Amino acid sequence: MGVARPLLGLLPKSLVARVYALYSATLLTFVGVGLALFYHYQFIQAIEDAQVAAGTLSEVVAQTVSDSVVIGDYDTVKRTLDKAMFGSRFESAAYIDLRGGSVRVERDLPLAVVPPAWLTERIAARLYEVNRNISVGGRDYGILRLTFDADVVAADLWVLLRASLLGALASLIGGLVLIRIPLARWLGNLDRLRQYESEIEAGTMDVRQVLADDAPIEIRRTFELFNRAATSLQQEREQAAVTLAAIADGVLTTDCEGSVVYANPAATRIFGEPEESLRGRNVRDLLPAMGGSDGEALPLAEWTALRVDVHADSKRMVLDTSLAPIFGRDTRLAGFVLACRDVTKSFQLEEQLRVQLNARETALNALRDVLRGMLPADQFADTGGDDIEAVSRLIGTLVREREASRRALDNQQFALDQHAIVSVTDRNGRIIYANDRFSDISGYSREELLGRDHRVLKSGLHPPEFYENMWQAISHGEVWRGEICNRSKGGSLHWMRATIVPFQGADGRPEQYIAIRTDITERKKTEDALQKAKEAAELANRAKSDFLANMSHEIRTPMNAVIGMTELVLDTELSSEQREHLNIVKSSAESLLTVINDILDFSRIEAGKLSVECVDFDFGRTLSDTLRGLAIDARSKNLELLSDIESRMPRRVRGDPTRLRQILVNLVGNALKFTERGEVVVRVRLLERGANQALVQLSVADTGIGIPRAKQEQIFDAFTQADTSTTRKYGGTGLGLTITRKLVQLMGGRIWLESEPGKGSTFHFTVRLGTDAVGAVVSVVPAQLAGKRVLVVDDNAANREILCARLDEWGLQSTAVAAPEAALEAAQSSPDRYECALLDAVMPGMDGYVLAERMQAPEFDGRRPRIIVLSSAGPALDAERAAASGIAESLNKPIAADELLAALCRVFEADPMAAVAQGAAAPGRAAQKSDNTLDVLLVEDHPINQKLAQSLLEKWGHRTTLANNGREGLEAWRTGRFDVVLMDMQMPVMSGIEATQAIRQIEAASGQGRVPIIAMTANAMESDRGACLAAGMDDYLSKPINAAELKLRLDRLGAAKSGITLSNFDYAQALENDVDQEILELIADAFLDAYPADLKQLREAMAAGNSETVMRTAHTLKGILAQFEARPAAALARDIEVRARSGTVDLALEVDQLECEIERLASCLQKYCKAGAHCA
Amino acid sequence: MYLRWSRFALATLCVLAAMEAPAASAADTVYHFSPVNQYGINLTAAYWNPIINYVAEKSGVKLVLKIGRTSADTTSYVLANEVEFVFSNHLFSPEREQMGWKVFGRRDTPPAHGQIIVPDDSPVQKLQELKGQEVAFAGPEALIAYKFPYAHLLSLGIDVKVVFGGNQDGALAQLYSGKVKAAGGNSQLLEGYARRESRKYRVLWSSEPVYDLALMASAKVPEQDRKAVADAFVGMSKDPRGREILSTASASVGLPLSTAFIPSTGTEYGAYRRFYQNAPTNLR
Repeated sequence: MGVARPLLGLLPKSLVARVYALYSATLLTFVGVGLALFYHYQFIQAIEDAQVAAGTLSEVVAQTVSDSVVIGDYDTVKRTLDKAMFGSRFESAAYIDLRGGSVRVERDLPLAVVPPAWLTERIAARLYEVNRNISVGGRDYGILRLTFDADVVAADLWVLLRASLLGALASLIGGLVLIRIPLARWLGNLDRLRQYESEIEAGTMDVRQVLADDAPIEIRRTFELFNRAATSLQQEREQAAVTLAAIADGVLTTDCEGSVVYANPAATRIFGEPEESLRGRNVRDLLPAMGGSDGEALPLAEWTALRVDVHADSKRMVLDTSLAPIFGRDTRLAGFVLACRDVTKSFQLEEQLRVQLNARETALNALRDVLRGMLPADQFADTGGDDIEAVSRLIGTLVREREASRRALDNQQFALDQHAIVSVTDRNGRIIYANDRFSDISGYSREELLGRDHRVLKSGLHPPEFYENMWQAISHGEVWRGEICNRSKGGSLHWMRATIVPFQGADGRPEQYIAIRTDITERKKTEDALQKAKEAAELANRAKSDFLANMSHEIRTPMNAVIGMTELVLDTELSSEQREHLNIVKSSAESLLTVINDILDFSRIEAGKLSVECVDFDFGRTLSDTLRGLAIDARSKNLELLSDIESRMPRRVRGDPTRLRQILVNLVGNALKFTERGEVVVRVRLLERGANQALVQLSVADTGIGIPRAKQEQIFDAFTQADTSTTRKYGGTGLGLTITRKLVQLMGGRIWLESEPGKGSTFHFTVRLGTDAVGAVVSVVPAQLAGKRVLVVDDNAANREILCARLDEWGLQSTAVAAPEAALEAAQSSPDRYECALLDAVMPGMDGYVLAERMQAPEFDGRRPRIIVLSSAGPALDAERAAASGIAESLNKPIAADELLAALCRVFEADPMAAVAQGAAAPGRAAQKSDNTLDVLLVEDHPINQKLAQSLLEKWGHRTTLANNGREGLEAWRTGRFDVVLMDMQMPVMSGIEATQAIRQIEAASGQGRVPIIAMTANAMESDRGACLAAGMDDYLSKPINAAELKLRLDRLGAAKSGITLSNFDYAQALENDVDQEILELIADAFLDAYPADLKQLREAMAAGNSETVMRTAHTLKGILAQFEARPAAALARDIEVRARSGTVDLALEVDQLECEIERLASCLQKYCKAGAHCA
Repeated sequence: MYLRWSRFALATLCVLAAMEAPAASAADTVYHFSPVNQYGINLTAAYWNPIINYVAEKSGVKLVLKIGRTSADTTSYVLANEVEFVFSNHLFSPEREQMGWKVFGRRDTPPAHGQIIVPDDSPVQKLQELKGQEVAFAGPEALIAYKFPYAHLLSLGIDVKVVFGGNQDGALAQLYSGKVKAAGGNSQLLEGYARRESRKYRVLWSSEPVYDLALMASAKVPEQDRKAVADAFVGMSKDPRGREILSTASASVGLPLSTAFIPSTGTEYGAYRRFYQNAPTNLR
């Protein structure tokens, strides 16, 4: 379109000219294209003809001249070429031989027609010379070359093209002339119509009269259309005139100057003048209020509904007018149409209505003002709008509601005044209202109160901050509640429970404060009395607890001496009578100590200070050790004491082994006490097993007297036994079960009882124990035991059941019999031989030893089982008789599962790994000499304890230096060198805590090594343990001293000192043989630099109780040490890591050992580096 | 004395001028390179012009392309001593080898075969069916495209009407227009045509493989010019610009883009020479 638009300007205006031009262009195009196509075709054809002719000619000539070429008759060749050239389109023909000689013939004839150069060049570019090899018999003689004459070909083509061009031109001219004449005649009809324009506009002429007879049908139809349009236009004019005459609104038509040219009848009525009079007048004369001075044209813009005041003949007339412009040809303004309507009467009515509406609006605004004062701003928007009646009704309703509210408030105030003490102050604290109760209690009359500052009531009991906080709250619009003491006019004090509510004013700040109080003076007095009584009671209780602790200390110290000395004397040569008497002394002392411990524990429970430890321990070992201690009592009453631990039970757990032992001693002790015959069975069941925790149920079942249901709940109360006669008959403090229940609760469990009088009781309790990877270790049953046949012989059904269950669980085949005779029969007659027999040592009729001897008889040859005797800790059988009886092993009841498994392994020569337990359980270890001699500083003030400890230490082979108090101990430590310090806590001159702190300070200042300090004290409270560790002590032993525990600590220190346990390990050899030398070179230096810092970090984390850091540091060390194949050191680091993971940070001895091992490794590393200069 | 020195100087100048003159004339000599018209005039010119321009520029030897209308024209130019370099396989007959033309290189394309083909949809299945039928060939001088297949037909006693298309494309145009029943051709050119024109054909016979056409120089070309031209041809594939020219030119005629010129001593053309020993006399 963009391109075509400029071309439109070139179009002729006349339709005839346009059609003629279109025809001419079309004809010219077709003739031109035809000519071009013709030329193209002729051109190609000429080239093709020339080439075909050339090919043919060259072939003919070649055949013709080949003979002449072979014989060298070049004259004939030339003649042949001459003939070939005659009449051809070639310019030249040549024969060229292989030596470059040629015979050439050229044509030189004048052309009849000279073609244009462009045509000749174009043809020459397309015609190539023709070459033809002359070869005869495979031999080349030369070539025949024909060269075209492009002029000849072009001349032929040019002649043809010229004739074609002339013919086309003639055709074009003739066609144009022929079309011109009819076109002008046929389309001229439309032009003739223009001559009769005025007649057609006036409707006085039928346009069809203009048509020529031979006019085409399209033009004929167009004329008919014109005719119908003119007729229709005339009819519309007539209808418009009638309409204008009929309507009530006046219509004036003006010219562009505003002079009236037409007025309809209504207009003549409105303006009171005939049309003739109006015609020619300017509308501004008729409507002066329209504005515009004379001579000015009316505004071109049209308007509608313009109201105009007309004052004519002292009569006011109001007209609604509208003006519309009339546009003529070429959009020029031709005039205006003014329509006007007389609205004088309605205008007057509107004026009256407007006055009335203004009066109504004024009244409504007044009512709204009233309403605005009565309603909150957010509700005012919904108050009836412009409905004056609705607003009036709303005001009435509000007035009634206000009145009702006021009456309700009066009532509430009356009721409040009857109950509470009420006052109101302004924002400055001045009293503006006070009720009668306020006056009564304050002693001031209302007149005295009003206007006074509220601070007149301050009692002086509360600190200034109390009032500041109160004022801070209420001045920020918050409600304050609290108890406050006021002083009355007479000086008496009154306690009030007060609520102070601030009321905000228009400015958003508190304007008034209303205080509502109730008198609580009497209640406060009661509370004071109760508080004093409570404090007195607590003081008394604390005194009692302190007394108990002190008494415990005072009693336990001599008891410690009594038991210790008795043990020492028992280790000497004594007559049997002396030994019996001393055993009684020891037993009585231990009983007394138990009573004292019960009392102490009870006092701890009362003081809320009873707590449990969390340390790693061997559960099975703890249980079996405990029961083994009680087995003596059982044996003395001929009772069976049995244990049954579920095999799934982890061996290593975390908890408080001491307290667990205490619970078991209490419950099993009670069971033995109240059972005259039968057995006492301890069962352990694993109820739940989580990632880090296990819930374990322990049951102690007896076949004793049982407890009536009515008493079952009471027995856990303090000082209570089943009945008072029980105490008399069986003894005891009555505190045991109370303490037990508390301990069970502290261990996260519960305790309950099942009992039937005359049949026995079963005490169940649960405890939660920590477990980890170490704890998960269970005994491994060697494959050699699988399928072994074992005969169990025991008269006690419970024991049979326990043993068989355990054996079956381990994969052995068990058979149980109750009587020895049945056992003999089974061993002799069973189709398959029993490879092992477990024989109860004590059975009615025939004991286990006799039964074992009977099985050695010849009839048992080939069927003789290996025998394990289960005795109840009686006198051990001498080795000779045991061998004669075929007894391979002897186990003491109650039998721990791992002991039984170990014994079976030995009997069947299975994997000894499972037999480790037996060695660990070897009794009497405390009496053995230590492997390493230590220099021990004993700091103890009590002579008996000094004697006891010195005796034990010397017996174990240690060298002891004695100090009588902390100061002496400090001096001795300064002047000597000690491997360990045993420090009492409470001593004259300087306490153990002070002495330890001093030693640690000196160590830190001088940079010397840290000496292990073990606290020994009768102070049994858990807080004492914390104090010891906080002071810098490394371990803690409670008095009376448990010899085995003390020896264990000292043995570990001895091992750390001498490295006996680990020193067999040759670090140098490991470095030489086992470690990748490249790795060694890379990390040796770094390790030597870093390990002191690691050890320091380990100790600091341990002191800070940060088990996480201990674990992480030990883990790091473990990895590095493993790189050096330092296996003992790595194992120690791993042990520390594992224990720290379980939360244990009391690992000073282990860290000492680790440091010792690392020092040995470091020494080897340094030598290694120097010797081989391996290190970088 | 002075005269004697003057004569000596003049003699020296003359000798130097005599030595310089051939070199100067060699530098001004314009050589004509005529490749066999394998693809039609326009396509052949499009293929060779950039290559010849490059070789002329690199070698310093002035080369002008001279293409004949048919494949026989190149041979005519050789016989008329009008060209000095050719790309041809028409000069291995015993007689023409005596003209002293030397092979110095060849186009490194897969071996070519002389073949007889029919359109893929042709009913002709065997060569015997062509007996008495029109078969199109490029031209009487085309060795692989005409002499190889036609000699085979003659050896089988199959007499066909030979129609020459002027070059390979012309022969194939006649085949696909239905004017002839079969066509003989060079497998390399047949494949290129089929790729360019999207045609399919079926091979009725195929000769033993022969190497592509040889770059040859006339015996009258001085050794140094021949060597310069040979080096320029061979070095094209090692020069990035030369490689690009080769790649573009090869793409235009349907050859593999990696096609290059490699040195040759002419020993690879034993198959051609053997043909002339056994071929019918009229095809030698």
